[in-house]
Amino acid sequence: MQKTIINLTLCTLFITCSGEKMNKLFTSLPEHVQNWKKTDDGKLYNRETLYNYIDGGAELYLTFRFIEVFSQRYSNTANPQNEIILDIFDMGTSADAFGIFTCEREDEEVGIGQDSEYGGGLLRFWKDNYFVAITALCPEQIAKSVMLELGKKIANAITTTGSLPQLVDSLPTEGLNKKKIRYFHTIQPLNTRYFVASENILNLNKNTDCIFAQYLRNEEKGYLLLVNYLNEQMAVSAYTTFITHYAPEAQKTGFAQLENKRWVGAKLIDRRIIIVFEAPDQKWAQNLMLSAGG
Amino acid sequence: MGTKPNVISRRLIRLWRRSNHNSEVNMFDNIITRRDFMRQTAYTALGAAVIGISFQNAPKTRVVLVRRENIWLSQSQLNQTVVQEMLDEAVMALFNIDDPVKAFKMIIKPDDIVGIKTNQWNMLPTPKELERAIEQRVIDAGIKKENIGIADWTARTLPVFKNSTALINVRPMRSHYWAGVGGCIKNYINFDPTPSKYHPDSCADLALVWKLPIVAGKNRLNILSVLSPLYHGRGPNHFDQRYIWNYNGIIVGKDPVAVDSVGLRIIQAKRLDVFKETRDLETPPTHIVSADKKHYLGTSDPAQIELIKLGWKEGILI
Repeated sequence: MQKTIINLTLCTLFITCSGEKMNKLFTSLPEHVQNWKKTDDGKLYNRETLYNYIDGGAELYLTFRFIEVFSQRYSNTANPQNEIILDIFDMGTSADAFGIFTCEREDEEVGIGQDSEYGGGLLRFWKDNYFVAITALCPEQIAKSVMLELGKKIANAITTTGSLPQLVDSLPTEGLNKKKIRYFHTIQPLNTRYFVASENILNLNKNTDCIFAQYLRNEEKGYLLLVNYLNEQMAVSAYTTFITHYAPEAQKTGFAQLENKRWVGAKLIDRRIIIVFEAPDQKWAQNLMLSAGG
Repeated sequence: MGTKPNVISRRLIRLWRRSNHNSEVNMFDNIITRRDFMRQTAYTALGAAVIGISFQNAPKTRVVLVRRENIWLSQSQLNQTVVQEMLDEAVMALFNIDDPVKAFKMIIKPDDIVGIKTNQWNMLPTPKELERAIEQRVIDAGIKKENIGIADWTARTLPVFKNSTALINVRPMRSHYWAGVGGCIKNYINFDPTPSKYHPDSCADLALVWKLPIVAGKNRLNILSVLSPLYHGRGPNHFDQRYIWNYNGIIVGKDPVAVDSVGLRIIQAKRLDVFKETRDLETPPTHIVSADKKHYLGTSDPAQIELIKLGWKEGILI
């Protein structure tokens, strides 16, 4: 009981501190950037109201430790119909800010925050607990310069940096496609990158830490999934469910060749499951698994 | 009791079981894994596999795709005359009749109160020119202007929609983070005050919206704009300017599931064309097949859709 009270107190304290930091951040936003200005006072959405802001996509943010998002529009003073939307998400932890950033990564780094990308009128970056997106609502060539400048100002206003999830350190570096690393907690972000099953056969939930990465070795592509569970019992249960429903042929050896001639391999180590998908052969899967500590 | 399949697959049996005996089975009895799709020899993309179930001896559902090459006056403005012609051509082909007004008179009566449910998502709204073209033909069919409403988010609260006796469904086709794609089936979600309740399982049960009293039995026509569809989205707004293209088409049909099924094929074909590899949609668009096999709202199987293609053929993709 005492532990619960302490946890609740810490949680409240964390949210309060986080809220204060967010408040300070959005009240310090510049009124003008180049010849663009704020069009309104901005709006704040939390876990309960996010649905009112993001059509459909809210679910993705809610699979993380998302706390709130501040949304602010800027318009061009000469042509007010040209607008950009700035969204600052407090993701609760730096690991989750990194996670939401990785979920849709596909463009070139532009040197803003701890990692960033720009393409197609969309700037995305993360720093500390914050994930920031700036979207052009007009032809991107009109807005690119102001988007990048605004992004840099916000990154500078976030004075602290955050740590990457610990699981990143467990990824073998040989052949790793760094742009194809995804960090998340639940089954949905995994299924959007690599559909595994319609049901949650890996028993993923908000307390599981998952990393999914693409590897290119010997000119062959494959994927590595690492999942950390809260305890060994949960990991055993998930491993059993996964093998039973996805690769029953792998029950003895941990490896199976699938209908598309590619290989899947799975291994349980303490509270972690290591899975290799789409390996060209068993040895390739074994080597990748081995280098991931399996 | 649902329609039983003539062509039986393990996956189809699961879907059938899911729709008929859901309460009796363990959740893991309904699993569809990646391997199930691998077993489908016609696997090209997840959505195509989901849709690619054949039923034999069923009557085909007619859907019309009309395209025109020169419809854009500027980057954002359409030629109203051409859009009107496209709509007219589509409804005439759909109802096999030589006059668009007569075609509209087949689906609405002068004493109807008509709600035109549009979509005003600010990144890619239903073009005003298309809304105007529909409204014009509804007026031509004898409906009084005051008995016509055009709305999106507010539709549920407006008297003209509350009292409506007929609905016309119009919106753009786009990829959608949580439903896979947003099309005609999804467009009525705002008729429910709590749209988020349809979000579980990748919005698989979106077709339930069509059973709400404000909707049930009222839908007369579905018009899916593929004038400039979005085939891949990113960021909080699931929008990226690079991934819209001028396809210059509209898809029209009485069956929302068949209309969406055709729209999905175009989106998938475009993704394959651009990405040069099969790239799954962010979420499998299971709500389309579910609307067919589970909720019996319409036909998702391309083999059971009579697709009439009119107009410009270049870059048609399907």
